[in-house]
Amino acid sequence: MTRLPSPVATLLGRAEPGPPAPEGSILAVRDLSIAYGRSVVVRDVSLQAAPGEVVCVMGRNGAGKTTLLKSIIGVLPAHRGHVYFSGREVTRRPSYSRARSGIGYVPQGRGIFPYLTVLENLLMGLEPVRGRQDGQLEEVLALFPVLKQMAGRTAGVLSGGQQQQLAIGRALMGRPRLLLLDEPTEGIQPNIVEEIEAVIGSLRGRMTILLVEQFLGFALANADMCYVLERGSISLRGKPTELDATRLQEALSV
Amino acid sequence: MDLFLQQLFNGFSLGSILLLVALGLAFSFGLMNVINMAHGEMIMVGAYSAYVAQNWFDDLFGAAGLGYYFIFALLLAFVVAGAMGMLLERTLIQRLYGRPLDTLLATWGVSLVLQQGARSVFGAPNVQVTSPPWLTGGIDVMGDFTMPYIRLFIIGLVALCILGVYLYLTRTSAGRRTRAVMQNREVAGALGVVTPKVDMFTFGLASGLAGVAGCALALIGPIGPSLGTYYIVDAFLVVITGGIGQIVGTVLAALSVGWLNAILEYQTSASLAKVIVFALVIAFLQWRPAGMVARRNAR
Repeated sequence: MTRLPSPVATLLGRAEPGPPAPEGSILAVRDLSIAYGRSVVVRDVSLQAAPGEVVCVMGRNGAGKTTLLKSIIGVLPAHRGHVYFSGREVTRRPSYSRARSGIGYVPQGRGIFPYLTVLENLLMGLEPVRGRQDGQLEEVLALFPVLKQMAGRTAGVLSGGQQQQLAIGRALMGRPRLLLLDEPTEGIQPNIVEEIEAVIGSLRGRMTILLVEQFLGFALANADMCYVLERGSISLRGKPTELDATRLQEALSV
Repeated sequence: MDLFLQQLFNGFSLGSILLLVALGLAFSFGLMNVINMAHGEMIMVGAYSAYVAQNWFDDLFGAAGLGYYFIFALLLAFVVAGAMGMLLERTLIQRLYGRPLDTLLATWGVSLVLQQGARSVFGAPNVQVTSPPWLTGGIDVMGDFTMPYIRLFIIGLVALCILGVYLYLTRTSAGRRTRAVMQNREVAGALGVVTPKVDMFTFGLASGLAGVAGCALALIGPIGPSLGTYYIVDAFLVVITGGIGQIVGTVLAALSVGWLNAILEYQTSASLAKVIVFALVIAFLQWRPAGMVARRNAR
């Protein structure tokens, strides 16, 4: 039997709670649909990630990968379905509240603040820990030494690769338990790609990582679990070793 | 020559007030893409705050209070106008987010309500405040050219406010947050910045600055319910000429418009000066549509 949400709950933006959060996962997405206006871009997607896991979402351009990540962090509202983080439903919570509960976000296209300095950009990453700092800055600068040399520069003058490193470093400043990475190697020169991949590899086990990638190699080598999005729905899922290679090629080739 | 210099000086002090008003407008536009038509009424609120503060001090301390009321009035103006700005943001503007035309209309409505409110409380005729004794007189520079203390005080006050805003934006974490939201609201939110709070405080600050501007205006002219409407047009002119959402551009434009007004008024007449300023601004915007300081869009 379904109960209609009370008008007050609707007004306050607290819709009917979904089923309880799945056990043993830090992130769980259940039957999530996301729409821009009337066109549904992501349809009935379910996925989950256990603590410390690296989960990879793959798919062609326009398959809905970025949309999915945006909805997990809360930048885009869910049309239907539920998002759970750390055992709590966060579907109706604003993005800042999700970030503050421990989700780090590296947006597509990097999304750095171009007129803030590199250091100021990094300090913005401290919002989830209410500005408290105990060694994160040193850790991040050790991971990305180039940011140290550039600390006083305006972030907008950095190269694409450096901006990407900045965006990842900024997300790490808040000591997230879940890191959302949206195509961190897109349009970046190969030697920096290697550096970034090494850093992501080194974060393995320290936090849960949800990675959106188009490069098969890196995804397959690092992921514990892969999901393939096609036209907004998950068409394929499994451990990298178990995935059907021909089917995967088919789903990802243009 | 003396008169010309005098005009130039007066233009500078008027430009500085304009700057304070325009800065607030630039804030709310830069941050939220909101055109706040009620911003002018915050000037009016600030001016009446000066009037109220004067009456309170007069009741409490008699003539002795006259020397000090203005300092209190400045604080009162900032706090009252700031609180009204925050209330306006919370109750109205926030709810119309992403609907600029509706916001324009709604804030215009608020502006009419506030004007009528002032008329009901203080009456339709203009009121006046007496300047504190330490602001009477001026420095005789040469011939007929004097720099009245009041106008010097206003210039100093504005300089102090600008410096304060600059330090707030560049040296405090709240200011850094504000700039981040201005540059990329979506990402700032996704990083954990409580954007509604930033919006509210920035709006409050913008309104508070307008309140201070109104308080300063009370020193050099009569206070009436429609005081704000006179200045708000020029302030919008400044914001657009400077480049929307551009703090540096706003400063340059405010001084340019202030001086231009003063010089042209001296050469021609008040209304012709206005016409020429408008024509020049239109011509300028034909040449540089984005304003004096254009910034490529960060988004």
